[in-house]
Formats: sequence, C-alpha cells, structure tokens
Amino acid sequence: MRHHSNKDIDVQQELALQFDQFESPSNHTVATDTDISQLSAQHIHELLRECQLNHTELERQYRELEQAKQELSVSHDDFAGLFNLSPVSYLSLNLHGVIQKANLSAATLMGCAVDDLVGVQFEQFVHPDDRENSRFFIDQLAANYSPPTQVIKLHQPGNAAIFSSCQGFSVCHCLSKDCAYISPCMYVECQGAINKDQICLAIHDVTEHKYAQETATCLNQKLAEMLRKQTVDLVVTNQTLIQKVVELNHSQRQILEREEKLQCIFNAAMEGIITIDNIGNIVSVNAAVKTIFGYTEQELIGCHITKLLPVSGIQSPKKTPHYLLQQQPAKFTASVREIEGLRKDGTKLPLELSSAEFSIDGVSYITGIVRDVSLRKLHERYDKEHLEELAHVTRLGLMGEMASGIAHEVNQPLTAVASYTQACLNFIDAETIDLQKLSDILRKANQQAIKAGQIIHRMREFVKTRTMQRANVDINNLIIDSMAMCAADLKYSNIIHRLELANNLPVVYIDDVQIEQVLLNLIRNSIDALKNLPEKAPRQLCIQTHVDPAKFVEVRVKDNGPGISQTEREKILTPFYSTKSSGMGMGLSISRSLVEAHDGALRFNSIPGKGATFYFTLPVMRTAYAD
Amino acid sequence: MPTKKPGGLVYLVDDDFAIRDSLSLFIESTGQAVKSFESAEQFLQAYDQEQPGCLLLDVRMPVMSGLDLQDVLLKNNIDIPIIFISGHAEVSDSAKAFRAGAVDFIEKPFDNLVLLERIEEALNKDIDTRTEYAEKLKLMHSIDQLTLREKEVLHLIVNNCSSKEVASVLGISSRTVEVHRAHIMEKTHSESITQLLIMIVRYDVVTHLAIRQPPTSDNGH
Repeated sequence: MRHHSNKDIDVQQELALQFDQFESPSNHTVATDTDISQLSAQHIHELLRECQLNHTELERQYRELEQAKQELSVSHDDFAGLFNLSPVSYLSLNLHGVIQKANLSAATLMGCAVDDLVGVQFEQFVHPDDRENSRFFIDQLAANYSPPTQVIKLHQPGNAAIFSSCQGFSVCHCLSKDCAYISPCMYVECQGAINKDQICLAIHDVTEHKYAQETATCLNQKLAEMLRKQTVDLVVTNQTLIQKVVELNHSQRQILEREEKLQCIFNAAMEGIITIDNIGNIVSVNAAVKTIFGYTEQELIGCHITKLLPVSGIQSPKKTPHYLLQQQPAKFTASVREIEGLRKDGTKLPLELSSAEFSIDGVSYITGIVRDVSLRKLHERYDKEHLEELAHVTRLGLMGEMASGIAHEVNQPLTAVASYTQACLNFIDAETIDLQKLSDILRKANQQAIKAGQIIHRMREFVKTRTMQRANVDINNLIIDSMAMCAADLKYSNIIHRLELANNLPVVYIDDVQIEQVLLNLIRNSIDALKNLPEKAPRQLCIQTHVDPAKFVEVRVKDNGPGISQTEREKILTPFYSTKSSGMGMGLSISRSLVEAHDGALRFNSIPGKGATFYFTLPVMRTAYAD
Repeated sequence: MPTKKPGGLVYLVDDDFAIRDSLSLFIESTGQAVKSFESAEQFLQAYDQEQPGCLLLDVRMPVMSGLDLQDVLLKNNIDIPIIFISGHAEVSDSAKAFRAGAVDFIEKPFDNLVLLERIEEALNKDIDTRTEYAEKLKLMHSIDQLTLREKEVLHLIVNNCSSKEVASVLGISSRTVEVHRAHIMEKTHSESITQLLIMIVRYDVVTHLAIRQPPTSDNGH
C-alpha cells in the first residue's frame, strides 16, 4: 500500500532533499567570506559576480520553488479532497492512540464531526468487548510491527440510530503503515502503519460483509443440516423402497400363486361361473358350464347370455357414468335366486344364481355363479313326499290314540239325536199332537246329526292320504277346531282349558291338516302330562296366539304339568323317543318336521315341576314354494 | 211303551246341553216328571230327600264328577238310585260306580227304551226302598215295645233256639215261653213267628235286639 501512496508525499520528500543540497554550499561560501575590506577589488568583483550568479541561481530556484509550491498546493487540495471524500475512513493517531486527524468518512463512521474526533482516544469508539484487542493492535503498530489486517468492533457513542447509519458505509483501507479499527457494533477491517510518532488507520466498514458472512455461515449450517436430514430421509426412503420391492416381489409371487389357485378353483368348481360384459355377451365360462349346459367354451364365448338363461337373471350393468365404474369393488347385485336354465339339448333345468358386478378400466362386467339344483329339487320332493307319508302314518296313529275321545264326541250328538227322535215318536203317539213342538225337536235332532257328521268328516279328512295343500287359514279357528276334537279328553281328565287368542291375526299360508296334526300332538302331550299330576291338583292348559316381532304368527301350548326334565330335553324332539308307556315317540319329531316344512320353527321351554310350553311359528306372508 | 208310570221324579245331571235337552224331552214324552241340572252342585242344592226318584248322572263333568257326587250322597246317607251315563266305557269307572251302589251304568249311545226301563226299575227300587225303610222303622218301633224278657226270648228264637231250649236257657217254663211268644206276635202284628223272623233278617234289625243288659242278671229272676 505504501507504494501506491499519494504522489504528494513523494514530492515533499524530494523537496526536502533538494533543500539539504542547496543549503550546504551556501553555508560553505559564507564561512570563507569573513572580511570583505581585506579583499581585493578583483576579489570583490569575483565575489560580486559569484553573488550575481548565486542571485540568478536563487531566483531560478525561487521560481522553481514557487512553481513547486503552487503544484504542491494544488496537489494538497486534491489530496485533501480525495482524503476527505474517500469512501475509506482514515484516522491518524499518535502513539498513545489519540486521534490526530480524520477524514469525513471516518467522522461519518464514528458518528461525529471531524473536529470532535481529533484529540479523542480512539478506544472510546471501540466496542467495550473489543477494546483489549484494539489496544493490542495499536500497541503492535506503535512498536512498528505491522500486524495483519484485524477486524475490530466499533461502537458509536450514540444509540441504535447510529447503528443503522453505519450500514451505509463501505470499505475502508488504512494506507499508513500502522492500522487500527473502529466503529460501533460494526466490524471493520483495518490496516495500520507507523509513521514516526503517528499511526494511520484506514478503516473499512465490513459490517455488511461480516453480517453477510455470518448469514452465509448460518445458511450454510442450515443447508448442511437440511442436507443431513434429507440424506437421512433418503436413506430411510431408500430402505423402504428396497423393502417394498421385496414385498412387491413377494406379492407378485403370491398373486401368481393365487391366480393359479383361482384358475384351478374356477375350473374345478361344481358351479358354473359365467362372466358377461355390459351388453350381456359371454366373456368367460368355466369347465362346469359344459357339464351343466352341454355347450363347450368355444360355443359360448361371444354369445348372449340368453342362450343359457332365457329369462336372464343376470341383468346388464346399469349405464353408470364412466368415472364411477372405475376401480369399484365388486358388489353383489342380488342374493341367491332360483331361475330356469336351458341346456344345449333344449331341456330346461332349475338353477340357483348369484351374481356380482365389477369393472375393469371403466368397462363393467357381471360374474354369475349358477348351480344345477335339479338333483336337490328331486331330493326335496322325495323328502316332502316322505314327510307327507310319515305325517299320514303318524296321523293314523294319533287318530287311534284319540279314537275313544272322538267316539265320545260323536256319541254325544248321536245320543241326543236318538233321544230327540224317540221323544218325537212318543209325542206322536200322544192323543194331541203339537206339531210346533215336534218340529222344534226335530230341528234340534237335525243339528246334532250334522254335528256328528262333521266330526266324522273331520276325522276322515284327518286320516286321508293326501299331499300338502297350502291355503290361507285363520289359525285361531284351527285351534278352536283342534280343541273341540280333544274336548272329551280334556273333560275326562278334568283339565281346565283356556284360549288366549289374539284378535286380528293375519292369515297364515299353511296346510291346515298338517298344522292341526301339530296342534293335536301338542294338546294331547299336554293332556298326558297333566294326567300325571295328583288327582286333586288343578290341571290347566292354555293356548295362546300372537304375532312375534319377526312377523310370524306364534302359537303357544302351555300346561302346568310336571314339565320336562333335563335328560328328556335333549331327546324329546328326536324320533322314537317317548316318555309315555304307549306311543310311538313320533309325535314331536313329526310335528317339528311339519312346522319346518312350513318355514316355521317348533321349540319348547320348561321348568321341571312347573309345566311346559311348546310353541311354534308360522310365516304370515305367502312364500314362493315350488309345489 | 209302558203306560203305567211309577211315581217319582227323574233327576238328570249332565254338563252337555244337547244331552240334557234331548233326554229331558224324551223322558217328558213318556209322561215321567224330570228335572235336569247342569252340574252336581246345582243338583245338590235342589235335591229334596223326601221326593222319591232316581238320578241319571253323567260320569265326567268339570269340577265335580258323577263319581264325586255319588260319594257325597253316600256320605250324607242319601240312597237315591243312580244310573250312570257315560261316553267313555271305562271299566274302572263302572266298577267304582257299582261298588258304591249304582243301579246301572249305561254307555252312550243307548237305546232310549232300555234307558226308560232302567229308569222305571230305579224309580220302583226307590219306592221299594222307601217302603221297606218305612216297614223297618215300624218293626223296629214294635220291637222297642217289647219287654226285656220278650226281647230275650225273641233274640234266642232268632238265634235258632226251640221253645224248650229258650226255657232252659232263661230258666223259665216252656209255657211261659209260649206266653211271651204270643205277646211278641201280638205286639209286632205278625201272623207267625216265622214271618217275624223273616222280617227281622230282611230288615237286618237283629242288632236292634241286642240285649242291653247281660242275660246273667236276668237269670236270677
């Protein structure tokens, strides 16, 4: 920096040297001229000429000096302007650190006027934290040791406002050999140089730089942190991805395996599996379809579903908006339904169908699973016929057991008829014949005869071989009729019976004979149970009807007999189990089968010693039945 | 068609209206008085013991059955002839009924004429019973009129003793025995001692002759 130093300083030095050279000879000359009077004229003359020569020389030198002085003055002004207006702050300190000189930049940096700076300890402007450093720095400069550039924190004797103004400064270099620094809360780069007893400081405000550096450091740290985090994240993500790849590979293998299995199931299934597209054309069929319908796969692909299912149970998917169809999970369009299929040979067959809708890439399909139920239907028919036969046989048995009671029921009206008619005969033999009386009696006799006929008719109906015939029946009437058939037994066994029949019961769709058989069985079981009670114990039988919450008509046959023991409970509904000395043990089991054939259920509960209640349900609504 | 009707009333107890109604009409048509009841209890309330008659009774009835009613009547010493009518031919029932003194046990349906005969028999039986009872009372009354010695004599005769034996047992002469016998016949309005003996056995009044005082005390006289 010194080499770049101001030209003015060089000039000054040169001039000083010239002065030295000039003075030396003049001093020498004067010393030799000690006494002029003693000198000869010539000598004086010579002296005079020498003087004139010197004079001229001096005048030339003076002119030169004047010119140099002018040049110096101009140069000084230039220097002062440059010095003051330099963006770099300059300070001159003495060896004690007192400010001797300052330029405008320095004043502005320090926050006071140039005049106020002069004579003040530079240290005062240093931030208290940094004073030690600055002192050491200046001491180093004073010791003519040139320390490296140092950053010193300055502070202005004002407040925050000064701080903000500082930021407006820019770089400052110390040109002198020694340097210190200054500024409030401001980092300054200084270079100093010793000039004899003076220290010059060039101060460069590096606050912004410093801050920028700090910010950069901070940002760098953050960046590093972020980088570290991201690296960690990436490592984790990478691991996850690797794991997922492994899983995917595994899944893919599983999917392949499952596909194999499904394909295997698809073709091994006994049920026919048919997939159709949204216009009802067959897309795929499995092997079972050939077995069921007789068509090969090639004969079916592309054909319409009505080829197999004339009244197609599989409905084409609704025209749902495209976006709704995409990737929707399969949904079941219906529960299992019974439909009719058409074989290749033109024969019809009963099928059970369930179907589900799904869509792939916005195209919807329906997969239907059909099961050939013709064999099952056949079995069902056999079962039904078997049940009917069994019911008939047990009805005959039941009638046999009830015969004496029914005979009594028939005897009553017959006895009445005999008595009425004999009375008529007697009245006719009398002297005066009261025709009105005769007609009244005969009418009564007629009614009784009809009553007897009805009982016989009912009995015949009951024991007749017949197939199941369902009709809408008022269950309450059926109960009253059944009780009438048991009236003699009830009376004979001293049983008090009560009917608690709900009003406005819906009609039930049943075979009245079969359900009457169930009723008679339950009533007779109760009667037999009540007979086991001691002679004088009250014997009660109650029949109730009501509609249960599931919309079934429920019939309860309740007695206060000995009840059903725990061991009997398990066997009581099984065939050929009887607690009675006489009886086949078929009553309850056949009753249960009959109720179940009506889509109802027969159950019981009992508290041993307190009685038993048997109850059965019958569906109210007419059910679709393939009779 | 029997024309002569024995006196008396036919009581009919059956819970079945048709039976009650038809039988009542039939019995009425024969000129026989009849009263019908729906239950045993109603019958018991209305029954007049003084009225001769018979009872047509249904075996099976709610609350109080025919057999129960028979029990009640027996316990109350009401000896009305009972004809049971049953729809159920249960041997145990009929046996029980007969053991308790039923006159008949008819099964429905029955021949009305047969029933009528049975009713007549029952009514006659009731009348006979009532007559016999009256005669028994009369006999017992006349026996009560006998002196102690006469009763002793009669008792010995009933026990198959000859006059001689009676005389020897009682330590009296045969002649005195004859006098006692004559008094006995007179007091009991009997034509012969044999007739009296028959009456005593028939009405079962032997116990009535039971000697209230030990015969040994009499021996002293």
